[in-house]
Amino acid sequence: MTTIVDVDAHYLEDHKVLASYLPEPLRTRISRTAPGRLLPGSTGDRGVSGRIVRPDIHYPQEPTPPEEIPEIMKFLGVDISVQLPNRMLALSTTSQRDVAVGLAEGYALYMADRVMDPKNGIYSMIIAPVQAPRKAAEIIHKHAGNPGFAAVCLITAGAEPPLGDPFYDPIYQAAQDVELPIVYHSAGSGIDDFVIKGFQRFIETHTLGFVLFNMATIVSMIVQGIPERFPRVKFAFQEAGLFYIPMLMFRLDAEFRKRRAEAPLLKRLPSEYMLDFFYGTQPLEEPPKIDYLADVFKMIDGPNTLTFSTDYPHWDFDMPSVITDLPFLNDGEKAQVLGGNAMRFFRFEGR
Amino acid sequence: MAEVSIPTFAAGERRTVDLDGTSVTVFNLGDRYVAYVDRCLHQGGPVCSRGTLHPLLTAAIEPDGEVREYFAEGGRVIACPWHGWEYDLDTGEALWNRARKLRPATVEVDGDALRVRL
Repeated sequence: MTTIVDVDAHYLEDHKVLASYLPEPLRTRISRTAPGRLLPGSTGDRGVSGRIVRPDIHYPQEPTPPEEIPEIMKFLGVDISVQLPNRMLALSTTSQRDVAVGLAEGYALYMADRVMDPKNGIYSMIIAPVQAPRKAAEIIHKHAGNPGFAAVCLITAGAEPPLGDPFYDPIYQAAQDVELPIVYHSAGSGIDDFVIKGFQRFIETHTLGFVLFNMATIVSMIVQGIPERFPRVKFAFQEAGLFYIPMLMFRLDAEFRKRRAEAPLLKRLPSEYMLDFFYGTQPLEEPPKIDYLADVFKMIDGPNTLTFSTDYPHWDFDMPSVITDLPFLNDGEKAQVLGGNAMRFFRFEGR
Repeated sequence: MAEVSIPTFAAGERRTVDLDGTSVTVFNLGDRYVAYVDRCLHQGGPVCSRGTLHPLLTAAIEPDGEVREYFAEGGRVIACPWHGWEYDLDTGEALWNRARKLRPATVEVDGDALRVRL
């Protein structure tokens, strides 16, 4: 009788049972972690060991049924929602071009078929696989005519080279040709996967990652002259709050005054280009004095550059009250940030 | 002053009542009842009615310099389901700044009933 040995088989453990064998406080931490995130690719347990939960919706345990989106919009109090598929936030991190292209194309078809409903305010974006710019351009041209696609989206986290590189020209050219704006969407709680290894907690990687990738993208695309080379494209940056914006404006200006010869294409100060961009508000910083936030609004022309976003159902989402409660904005300015600027950027009016 | 009367309930449980349009959650902590307005100080989330309960995670620096995390004895924490803001259930104090507190309501035990006032 032959004895057969399988040297590689896999058992999917129940992490709650596993937790009972662990010392405290790790036992509680693991037992309250969402399924599938026992040892995530990053330091990420977004729910902080069961503290942050979404009991009324399917996320994060199960996929979101499209019919749940209107209910979520009602809960949040929003009228138009630009939906970005959750799992695509990691798209730029893979080096597999065929997989990235296939996913981007498939997601465009999927979102158009199952999720988007522009008549009822549910939009999405064409996600460009940055690994393969010519293929990305084909996807953009193919789907731009669908009124549910409000923009071309580039996932900034993991994109190499940085997104101002001429390597990406076909994407920018396609966006300009089809007259869609470009949304750079940050991610990057996985900063420890590809920038600095060794962070211990999600709070460390999440604090840094989203800001880092938006800053890297802004610096790259301005210095490489993307706004000059594709002047009819509008640009927006999502999900890194506000305070990094003035820091980067004035730091880049100071560098530019000294090193203009490295960016001769620029006709204006970097900060002036940045004031042409739009920025998602979430997660809005919560400084100890509201004056600090008011000052940042002034520095970045917030009433004209900011577009409200919830990021729901993610763990650090914002309700519209973060804007409606701001004492230093008048009603017209609040309306601009809550919707007017986004209507202008995405050109929802007239679509 | 808004007031409502409800039956007593078991230790470890909670009940949420409406006091003239304000949602108030009553907790039976075993040795006493406490009650707070069901509104997180952060963005107004349903911290009391929907919040999850946790032990109080804290940390100490050991004599050898190692950091040891542990659950403080008797600590009872409620976390807002929206963003995780944590509060001491006994006092309503926010753990990141104990000067910030959930708005308390008064609970009085009257036989088999609880009078909740705001």
